[in-house]
Amino acid sequence: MPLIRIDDQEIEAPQGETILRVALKHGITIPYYCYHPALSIVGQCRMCLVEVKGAPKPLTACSTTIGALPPDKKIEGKYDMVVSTKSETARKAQRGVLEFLLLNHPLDCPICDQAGECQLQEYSYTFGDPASRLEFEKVHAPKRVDIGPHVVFDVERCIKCTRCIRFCQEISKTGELTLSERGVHTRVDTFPGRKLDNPYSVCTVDICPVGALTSREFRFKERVWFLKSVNSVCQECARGCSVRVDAYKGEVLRLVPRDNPQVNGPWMCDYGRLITERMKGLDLAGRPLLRSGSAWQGYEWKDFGAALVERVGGSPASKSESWAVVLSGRLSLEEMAGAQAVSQAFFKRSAGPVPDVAWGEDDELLIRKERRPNLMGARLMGIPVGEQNAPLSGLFAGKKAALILREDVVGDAQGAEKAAIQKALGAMDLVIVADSSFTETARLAHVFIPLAGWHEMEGVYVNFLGVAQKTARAVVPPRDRRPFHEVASLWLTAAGHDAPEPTFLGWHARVKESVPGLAETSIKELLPHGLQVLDAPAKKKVKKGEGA
Amino acid sequence: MKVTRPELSWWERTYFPAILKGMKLTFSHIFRKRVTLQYPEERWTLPPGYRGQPVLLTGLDGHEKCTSCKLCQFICPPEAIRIVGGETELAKEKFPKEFDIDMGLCIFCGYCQEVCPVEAIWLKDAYELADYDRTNLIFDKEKLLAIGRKPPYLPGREKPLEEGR
Repeated sequence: MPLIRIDDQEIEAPQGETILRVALKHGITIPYYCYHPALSIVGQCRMCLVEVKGAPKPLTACSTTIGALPPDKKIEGKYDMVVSTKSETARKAQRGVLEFLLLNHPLDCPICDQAGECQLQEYSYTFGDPASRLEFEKVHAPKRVDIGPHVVFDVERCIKCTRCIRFCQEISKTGELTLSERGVHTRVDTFPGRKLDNPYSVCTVDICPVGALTSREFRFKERVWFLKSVNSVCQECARGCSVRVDAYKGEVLRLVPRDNPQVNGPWMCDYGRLITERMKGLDLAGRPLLRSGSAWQGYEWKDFGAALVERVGGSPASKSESWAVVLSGRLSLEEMAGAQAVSQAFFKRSAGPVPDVAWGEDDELLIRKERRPNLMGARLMGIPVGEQNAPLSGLFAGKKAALILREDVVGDAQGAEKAAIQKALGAMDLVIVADSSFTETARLAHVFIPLAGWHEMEGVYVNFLGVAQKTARAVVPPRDRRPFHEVASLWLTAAGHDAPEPTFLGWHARVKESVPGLAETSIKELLPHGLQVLDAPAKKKVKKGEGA
Repeated sequence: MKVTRPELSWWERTYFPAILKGMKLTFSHIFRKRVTLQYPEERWTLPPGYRGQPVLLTGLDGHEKCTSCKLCQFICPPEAIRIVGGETELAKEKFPKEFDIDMGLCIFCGYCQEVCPVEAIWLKDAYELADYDRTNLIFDKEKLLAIGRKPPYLPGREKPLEEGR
């Protein structure tokens, strides 16, 4: 392998690798905008100029590859390439490029959503000049261009790195964007009659190094330095993309993909991100409720366990075949373990099935038509999974009581199916519904258990590839809502059964007993990229990225 | 540690000289200029740059200057400022939908004025802010703009306003 020197580090680098990749791998800072590990290399922004010994002028580190020299022509007798990122020439080149980029940049950082996570800000401080030499009016361009349904474009802020254009050509393969005009008037534009409207359009906002592309949903919501971030898992399909949840004052404001080569690469679909919008309209559940006749009675958690035991024990339906236990693929593994324990203790049967809710189509990149994040988890736990989109009314036929967890069986059903489920549930002696919001199904319940939302609890989810990932709690539930495993502890203890302590870790120990892939692992191994607990089906892998 | 006490004479031990010395100093103040003000009838002339009530300023277009960048909210040591940003059709794009200052928390440090990139918040020379109810001490955007300074030629203002009033 060629031996190269970058600054004063001697590095053996593979031939054909670019200087930038080698430098990043060895912790050497070279500024860059247009380079992205998952996109093609264009050498467009010129920010990564470095001095290479023997070259007549600075070269772009992102597009200059490392070659081998014949033994008698080695530099200083041993190096194939000598690169300097901090020499006077390199610094001058970087400073010059930054001056050009900032020349017509509006510097409206106070209202820019990118401020705080803006590469232009960071590099200006590190590599740029403190003042501009421009004495004239800046070139102005349209702001607030409606470029797509979820993206707003500010032409002035754009530095023409073309990451978004390459994303649309190479990753989403929709090709809506292009560069138009020339010189200082160059701008990113959609082709005539088209909009930046593809299932992954907000990824362009993530990869935009400046604030030119901003998300319509997150626009002006909060400055990024106020956000509290935790690592979590997207809940909207079986892919279970690794995400970072940014919340402020008890509200989830945005989801950003975390680079996870095992699962989603650096991308994520718009539908998953827009969970923040869908969560707004939810009638969030408060405290446990019991219904007698048409009146709901609220309970404190400490009294609720006994009330539950009394209600379930007192119902005529205490035989195993009279209970329908419907779990959801939205439950975490720990909650499923809780549901399993409850089901075995009180209904003398195994929990399940888990309905496999699917709509839409699989696509080539991320989206899966199975819309529940933890179906594979249910399979690993030994809980039966129903056939895809099988009608649920059959599950309730001939049953006298039902326990329905996190699945809005009434609200999600249509037409005659919906009427059939409503009729079946209405005729039952006892319906227990546990969900994070007060759904249509909950209105038919006799007992309603308010569960913590996916963003309010810890849990382990296994995606369709068999990668187990752990979520963290992004916000504290504003009212006292609890994950189902805690409710299970409460319920079991109230009836005098043995139960693990009502915490995530207590129930995770129970999960380890039933999932073989997790038996020998610790929680730390599930972070941050998850752990393969199942042999993955042979399938094309997501294009790999190493960090945006 | 040993403290050496001065040797006092008999006359000094009566404490008369010390008392007389004190009386002399006290009575000498009778002939000096009085500094006490008969507040609230008499008022102190505040020095320029006095840091009192923070207010919001109105721009030449008649709208609040604030762009809701939240730097004041960030810098505010007692976290007295709460801003909810929103989008506006105006050229400035972003504006504060809500802007509250909790005057029960404000410590009049002036950091908000210092940090504001558009000179939209400013500490004026009002200091009588007491109230019987804490909820009245939360000043909302309308109130802060109403007590804030407006450009002289806005409707209803013929004469330029005095600086600091």
